[in-house]
Amino acid sequence: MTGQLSETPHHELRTHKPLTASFRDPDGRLFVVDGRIVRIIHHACVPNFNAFMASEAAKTLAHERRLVATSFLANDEAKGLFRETEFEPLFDGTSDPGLVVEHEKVPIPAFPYEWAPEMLHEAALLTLDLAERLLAEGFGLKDASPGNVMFHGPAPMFIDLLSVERRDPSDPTWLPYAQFVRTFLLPLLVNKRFGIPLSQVLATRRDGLEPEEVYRLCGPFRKWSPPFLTLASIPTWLAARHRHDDPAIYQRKALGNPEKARFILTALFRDLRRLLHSCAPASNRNSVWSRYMTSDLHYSREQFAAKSAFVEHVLAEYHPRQVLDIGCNAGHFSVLAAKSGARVVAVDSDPVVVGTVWRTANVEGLDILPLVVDMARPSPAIGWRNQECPAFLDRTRGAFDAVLMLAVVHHLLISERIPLEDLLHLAAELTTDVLVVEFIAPDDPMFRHLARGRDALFNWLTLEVFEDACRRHFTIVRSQRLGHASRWLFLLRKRKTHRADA
Amino acid sequence: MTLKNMLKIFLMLLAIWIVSAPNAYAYIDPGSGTLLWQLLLAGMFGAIFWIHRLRLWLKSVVTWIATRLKLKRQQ
Repeated sequence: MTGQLSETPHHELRTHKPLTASFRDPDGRLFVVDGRIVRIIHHACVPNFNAFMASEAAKTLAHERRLVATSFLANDEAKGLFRETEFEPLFDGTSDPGLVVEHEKVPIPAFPYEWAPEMLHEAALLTLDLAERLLAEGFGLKDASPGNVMFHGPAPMFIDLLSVERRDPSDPTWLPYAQFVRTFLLPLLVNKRFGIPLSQVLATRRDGLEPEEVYRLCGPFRKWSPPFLTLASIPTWLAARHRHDDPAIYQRKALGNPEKARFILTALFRDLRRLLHSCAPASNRNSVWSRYMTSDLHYSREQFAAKSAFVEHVLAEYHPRQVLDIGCNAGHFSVLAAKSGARVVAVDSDPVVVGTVWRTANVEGLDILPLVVDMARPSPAIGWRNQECPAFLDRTRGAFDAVLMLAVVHHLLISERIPLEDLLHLAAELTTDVLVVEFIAPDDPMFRHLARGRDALFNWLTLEVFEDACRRHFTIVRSQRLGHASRWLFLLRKRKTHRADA
Repeated sequence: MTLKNMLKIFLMLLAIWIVSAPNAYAYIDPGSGTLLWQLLLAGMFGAIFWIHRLRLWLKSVVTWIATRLKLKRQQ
């Protein structure tokens, strides 16, 4: 049922393009029309949709910006949008075209395999909140997966409005229960207890983890301990006892007593909330990079203050509106950019530090979208025909007017062996204007540590070589050495010809 | 015995019953186990609903009797 709400800047030039991720739901279809996100709702589903949009739950969640903003389009406007397309006959007056609505556009869509565990937990909470509020007004959810949620900044937003339907008041079952367990609870649980990254689970499985898969990971004691007992072991044992040619369990259950059905569902949601709480990621997790900004910082206090001042000065001078912070670690510079008024996307390959950035942005109300992305292996295009979820670079190329690459170039050069020219070329594709980049020379202790005795491989890398490489795509506005360290900060602006190309 | 302890014993007995199932090496219907578990939970919450209703009914009966007795004494 997933409906992706945004398109890559690359795709904006193509009009009337159906979003490939929206094909699963027969009740409607999403399109990108001239960069606008438009949904056609099948006429049979219009009464249900209108009833939901008029409900208190929809109004409250929309007011809290937890439900995607939606406006109704007049028939003439819709007709104009779909003129000269295969969908034009829908509006020729011979048949009922249904309803056409427009959704707000999420600037940079991010997918669950790019979220920190904290974000998956928050998306699960939103789904449960919505399900509970809907229950009170006689609605239910058809499905409950992270694909129905997108993040704007650190805040989750429910986007798939066609997931909501009128429910049978006497039905005591929550149909998406198993999907909620598979796509939210079990990935969070295996991440918390076994350290399995969400990217491994959710990038390869649209529908999350089966209880049987988690059961096989458990030792004899863990199988009997909560929450594994109720989330993995009991379902596995029950499935083994169940005859798979017996479809009776999938038939709708109806009780004669709607009050009892509602009592059961309320208790079920309370139980799911308790389970979700037990799967919540701990705030004191550690990783290789989680202490970089505290005990492992490779700068003196003065050097770090000078580095912060350099970045703050750039932010005050150019007022970028969209900033990408590559290798954000705990998000110090992302926070500076967000506080200067920019909308920030902060990426790092370490889910623990990305979780820290999310907590900071969430508590301080900063417009930062933190994502688990390894720039040496950015998320590929995945899903049906490789078109359901576009590649990270296709979503972000040219989407920023400033890019920060602080203390990250040497990692890509040494550990990933990415050529310097290629690195700067990619930076020039991502930014439309400013690049703040830190050069770390081969005699720097961290550089030597990463090189692991292969220093000779980088004999060619000097400050002059770095500057020459920068000049191929950028103009050097200024540079600053950080005290006596072998580290230099550069403020670069994309060369005018390159900007025109972009 | 509290409701929580009763629930724990119920869960243990249930687990012993289902764990004694023979290993299924055939095709397993994915998701059926979680759905069955939800149905069991629904049955359990349904029973709690009736206990809850019974408690409310008993409470109202006791209140009614107490009110009647009070009125009788006043007369």
